[in-house]
Amino acid sequence: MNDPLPNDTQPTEHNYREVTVSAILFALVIGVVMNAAITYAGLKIGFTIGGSAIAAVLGFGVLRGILRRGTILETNIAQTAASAVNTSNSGIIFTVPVLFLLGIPLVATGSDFWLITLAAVGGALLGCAFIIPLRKQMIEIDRLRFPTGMGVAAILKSPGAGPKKALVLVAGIIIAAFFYWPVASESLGFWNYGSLGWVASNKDPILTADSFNLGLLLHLPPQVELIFGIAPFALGAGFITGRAGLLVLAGGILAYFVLTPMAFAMGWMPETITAAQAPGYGFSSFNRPLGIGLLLGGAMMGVVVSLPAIKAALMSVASAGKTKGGAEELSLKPVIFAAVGAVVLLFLAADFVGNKPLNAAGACPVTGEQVVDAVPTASYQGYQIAFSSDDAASTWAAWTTDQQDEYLKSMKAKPGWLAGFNPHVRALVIALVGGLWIWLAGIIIAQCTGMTDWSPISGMALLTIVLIMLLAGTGAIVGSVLIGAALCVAITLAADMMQDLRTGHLVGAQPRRQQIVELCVVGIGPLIAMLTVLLIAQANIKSTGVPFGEGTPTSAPQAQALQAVINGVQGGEMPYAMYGFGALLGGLLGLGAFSGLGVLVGLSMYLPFGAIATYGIGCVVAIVIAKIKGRTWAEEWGVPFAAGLIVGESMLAMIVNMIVLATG
Amino acid sequence: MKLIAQLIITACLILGAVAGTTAYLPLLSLDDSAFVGRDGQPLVLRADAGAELQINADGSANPLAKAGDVLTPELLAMLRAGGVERVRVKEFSFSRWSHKWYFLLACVGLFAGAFMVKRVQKSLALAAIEAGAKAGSVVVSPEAALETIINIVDKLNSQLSLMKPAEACHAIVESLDPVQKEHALVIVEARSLLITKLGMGRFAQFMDRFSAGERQLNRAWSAAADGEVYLHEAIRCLKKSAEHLAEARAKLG
Repeated sequence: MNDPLPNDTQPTEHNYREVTVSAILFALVIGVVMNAAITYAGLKIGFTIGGSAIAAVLGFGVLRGILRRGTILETNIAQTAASAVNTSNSGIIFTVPVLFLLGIPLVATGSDFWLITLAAVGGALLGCAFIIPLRKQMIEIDRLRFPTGMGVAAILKSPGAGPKKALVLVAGIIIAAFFYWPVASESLGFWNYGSLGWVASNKDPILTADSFNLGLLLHLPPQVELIFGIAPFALGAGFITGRAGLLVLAGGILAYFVLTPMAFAMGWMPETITAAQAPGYGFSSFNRPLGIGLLLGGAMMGVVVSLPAIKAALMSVASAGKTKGGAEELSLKPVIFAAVGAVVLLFLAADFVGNKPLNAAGACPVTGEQVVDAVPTASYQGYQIAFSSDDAASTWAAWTTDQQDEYLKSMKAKPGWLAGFNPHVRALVIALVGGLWIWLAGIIIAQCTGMTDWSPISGMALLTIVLIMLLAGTGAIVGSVLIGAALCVAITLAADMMQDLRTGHLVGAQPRRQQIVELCVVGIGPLIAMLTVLLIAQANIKSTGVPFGEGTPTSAPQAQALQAVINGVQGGEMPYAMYGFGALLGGLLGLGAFSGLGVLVGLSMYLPFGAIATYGIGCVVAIVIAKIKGRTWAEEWGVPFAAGLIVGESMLAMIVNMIVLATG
Repeated sequence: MKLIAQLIITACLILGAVAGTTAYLPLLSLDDSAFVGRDGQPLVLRADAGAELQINADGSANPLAKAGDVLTPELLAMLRAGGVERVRVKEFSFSRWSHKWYFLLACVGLFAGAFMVKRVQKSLALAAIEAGAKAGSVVVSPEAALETIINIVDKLNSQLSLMKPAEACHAIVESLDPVQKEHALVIVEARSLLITKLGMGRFAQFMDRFSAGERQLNRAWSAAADGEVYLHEAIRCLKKSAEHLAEARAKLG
């Protein structure tokens, strides 16, 4: 006779391990280490890597290998928490270093540093809280794929799926590491692909450290960019996305094969721009603004089209919240509580920083002397202005409007849309608008990562800073960066949470537990990233005299790009109309068969072609394999291999980051 | 019809994007008065304009006017004389935008294309539903896939009590593999057909219940794959899944 099965109605000897102390401790350690290492690397090279896949692989090694008791779901919780601690770094490094670049220093003893950290923690909470109710709509109803989330699930399931699939996963990791090593190790000064010296007849390199220029090999005109990035991650993500990812190529082809060559041929670029410079000029002048606009319009149309699904999802979440004891979804009450709390944090930070004098620690507009604390101030056009003495304040009051305007102009401080409001009301409006923008931008980022795995965080950072500067005034740099950092942290975490919840769905995790764990640990990340930024800035000042930028080991490329945007806003150079026209086109595209079309086309106009071309190859390979071997075979064997490619690149990049961090 | 609609959408997207690139590029053939901003001041160049005939040693040429230069009548005259056709300015105005009608045409075309695609999509989905009904039961229909999943779960629920724990775990993993890789995919890919049949609201309710059941199956798979010590969890999830899938069947009608 067979052994009796355990009766599921009786108390069990072994509760299924999901949220455990060992998983959380492991996640915190790994998350903090990844956060610091990736923050440093991001400041050096300009982009960051996600931590989910790395944490999943390490989680298996530690929880199952060393501790010998981890389950699939326990490892899933570990990767969820670790990536939540890690992910906020991109929001910080894309925004905060710009203050240093603009000559506004941050110190650990200063209030600005801690207020920005506080706002970023608030943003982290807000991003997670806002996206929680949309899990059902995006993952269960709209079925966005979230390729990295699928890849991580394939990693988590690989031991249970049999040794052959685990071997396929390992093969993917090894192959990715082999091909990506020369790219990753470039920052260590080792041999890279560019060292091969493969050049075209005009001496331009066909193979660079991280890309292959097919256009050069085929003798295409220089203004037509046909470049493939050497990125196993993009290949893997493209494979998992499959046919739908091909739409991403559409925007790339439009931008790099139609608009740029056409603008060059029609003389719509300055005559001093050479054919080789045309793709770069086209990107900054029209492809990026139109692409961001398309993204925005497409996402908004996506929200409108999905309203019935969002309504059904919210009703389902609300009814689940009424289920006593057995609710699997975090109900709306704690989510609303977290959102309100985070908006309050944003308000406090914005109120304090936003109402600091325009010339705090700077020169008095009347005497030119340095202003110090506890000085007389006056309010003008929404700005507080500090004076070196009461006499100086009286003199200012006697100035004509033209003189006062001239001073604001010299400070590049145009009045914001809310200039006429009471300062506290202005801070409240900014906090509320910021909260709403987090919701919308979070949806946009989550949709993009859900459909393609690409996250247009820098584009959203740009729009965020522009929005806040328009509201608060172009002189409110610290306030804008503060809100910008909070919003960027929020939207990156929104996307990360969706990836993790997608993984959770595929391995059968309880969403509620994942959501609670993420909300509990998410505030740690901004603190680690901020401290790392501060530490690096101080070390750079000591060794080179400047905190970031040229001449330092950390050039902070994204912050430099943001600095250009801030200067652009102050100088009235933002192409607002192009954003608007792009949004209109994106919205109309979303009216058709597929509401996400505008998002996909816009995203690929905005990304470098090298990245999306490699991604496109992954999509084509998936289609061909599905055709030859069948869809099931492609899913069963192709996805673990593709997951291996994603993990291989991430792991290797992480190891190199650690070496760079250790050796300086 | 669908191909025509897609061609219209593609063409109009290209037209709209091309028109959009000229938003800040007024023609120099416009009158000088067109180059005055909203504040009454002359416009400012956003990018360099024109090029001197003399070429530098490195092969580059100096611009006739630099980014940031104010477009005074004198500078405009010089640029026109230098053969420059357009300049990139900082301020946008509909009156200066030479391609505004092309952009409007593109918008109308995109709207019409979207309308056509929606219509075609609906008629195709209705035809598929009708064909499925005539053929009796189509193997790949979402209804059939859901029934298959429910049968697999029911079979597991009834047979597991007769197996040894190790066998039961193996059976769960083996039986749920095709559910995850084939049958659930059929339902996911029938999205537009189901939306046409049920409407967005009811489709969302159906997917909500189906996904809840599917997630319980995934959890059962994970628990079974983690070993017989967690078999009780797998069995609990299978039972819960059966309830959710039955609710999904009711929503499907």
